Amino acid sequence: MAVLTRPALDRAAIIKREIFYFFTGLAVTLVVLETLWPDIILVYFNLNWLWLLWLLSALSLLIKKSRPNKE
Amino acid sequence: MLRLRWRQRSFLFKLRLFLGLLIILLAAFFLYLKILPGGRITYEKSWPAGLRSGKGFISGFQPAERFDDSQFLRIVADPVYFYLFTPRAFNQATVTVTYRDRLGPDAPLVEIGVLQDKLTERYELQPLQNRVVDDLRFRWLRLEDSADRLVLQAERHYDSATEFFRDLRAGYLRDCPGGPTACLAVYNYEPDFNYRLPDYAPLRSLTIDQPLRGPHRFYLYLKDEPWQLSLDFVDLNQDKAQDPITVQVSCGNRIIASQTIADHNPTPNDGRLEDKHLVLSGAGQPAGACLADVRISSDVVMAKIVSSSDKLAFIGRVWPVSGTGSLRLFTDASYLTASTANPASLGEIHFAGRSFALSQTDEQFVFTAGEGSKEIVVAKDDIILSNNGVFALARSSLFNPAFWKADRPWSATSSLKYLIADYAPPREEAGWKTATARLSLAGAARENGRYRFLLSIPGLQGQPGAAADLEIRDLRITLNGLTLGQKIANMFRNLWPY
Repeated sequence: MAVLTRPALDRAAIIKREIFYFFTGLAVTLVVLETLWPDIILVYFNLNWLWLLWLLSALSLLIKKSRPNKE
Repeated sequence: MLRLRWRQRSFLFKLRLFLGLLIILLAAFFLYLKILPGGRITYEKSWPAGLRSGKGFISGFQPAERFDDSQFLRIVADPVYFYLFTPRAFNQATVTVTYRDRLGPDAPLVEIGVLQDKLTERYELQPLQNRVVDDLRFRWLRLEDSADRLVLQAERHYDSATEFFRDLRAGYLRDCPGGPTACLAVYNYEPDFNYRLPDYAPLRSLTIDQPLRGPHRFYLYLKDEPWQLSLDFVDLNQDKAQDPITVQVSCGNRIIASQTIADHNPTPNDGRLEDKHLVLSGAGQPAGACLADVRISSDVVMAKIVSSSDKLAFIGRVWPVSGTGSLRLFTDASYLTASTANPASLGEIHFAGRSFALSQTDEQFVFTAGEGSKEIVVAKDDIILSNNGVFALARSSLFNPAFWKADRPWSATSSLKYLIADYAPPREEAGWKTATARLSLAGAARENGRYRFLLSIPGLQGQPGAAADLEIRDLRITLNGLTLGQKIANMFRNLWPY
């Protein structure tokens, strides 16, 4: 974590990482709500779409991390 | 100072704060939709269905062979069920349906209902369309046409509705020698009227040892003497559900006796027959028809009824089983609907002196005849018989304190001369009709957050390629219930009742 928040890390990378955290937090919150009150979320919104966004966000983060640093 | 501090905060802090607040706001939004503090919400479903992410609130249409939803919701056979998911309980539902129909004269009625009792599968039905009333509205003379009721007369006997209702309360109607029940038809309306049997002899006991399966309701005529109703049941224990037995007797709107036998069998599907017995009794009642409501599941058979009154007529539906065959029944309705799930029960049914064939299982057959009381003879039982009248096992027991229900056309020779209905016809615009029905959800069955609805179009018995159908474009359900403030106030009231 400390490595990722270094000042050298550009703003786009921070946003990308924080969006991943956001999707993780949102998915966990909605799953907890759905578990407590069944169908409260699923009638409005299919959680699979959120999991897909979460997966894409995680993949983009991993791809970026695996590229060699040009500097 | 605060502004300075905010400027000093890092970009990461601000971004996290924003995204964190977004999660909290979204969670709060869904919680708001769960609680619905205003106590009112509308859910809709339209056809053709657009792109939709969630499951939707109105779903689970079944059985699949009775409709086709590739464009509009095209219903070809009766009835069709669906579910409404609600995040909380409500007291009332206002259902608005936009539809067009190609229904023939055999299917004049479209009704919608909500499941009230899961055990007996009983629905509270409300009208969407009644062609019989719509037709009479323009052919007969209108005595009253208000939001509450429609009162019609075939010929000019009354000048005002006040006069008409005054006579009805007194048990008399002009040009009606057979009494009000002989010449008044009603629809979705219960007049203030106390039925009296004109030639009633004091109580004589009656024993019915024809087993009847599932829930039944019957009229019982009581007059001044103490009364008793003794019922024997057999729990077949064929399905997994518990089978409680409840019998309630009510006169007017007052329950005069009620008894329940809980089902404590830990293995309710072990196939072991269980005998149960119930006795209800009471002091003398003022003369009139009382209603006995036997609430049992179809896993229970009412094996024997011993009644102190011999005037006992089953309302609308009987399911005789396990008898000796060649059963004789009597009915006052002009038609008979028969169906069976048992291939061994297929065969002939004699109704009003004519023979009709019950040739297929799981299909409803409708047989018609003239008016007056008629005999039904079934060679084999395990057949569900139904109509809009009453059934009795002896001609002398047959009596019907209810008014004729205007849910199907009647012959020109009929004695019916008046009609009272609580019904508003659908509005028509550009070939589409819009009808509204109000349903009470206060006592409705709600399981896993879902209410079960029924769309009933009696007489519509087509196949997917059939010409007769009803196509629904929009289904809108507005729900009303307690607000959050009222719920909290009720909670405190229950905690501290004084």
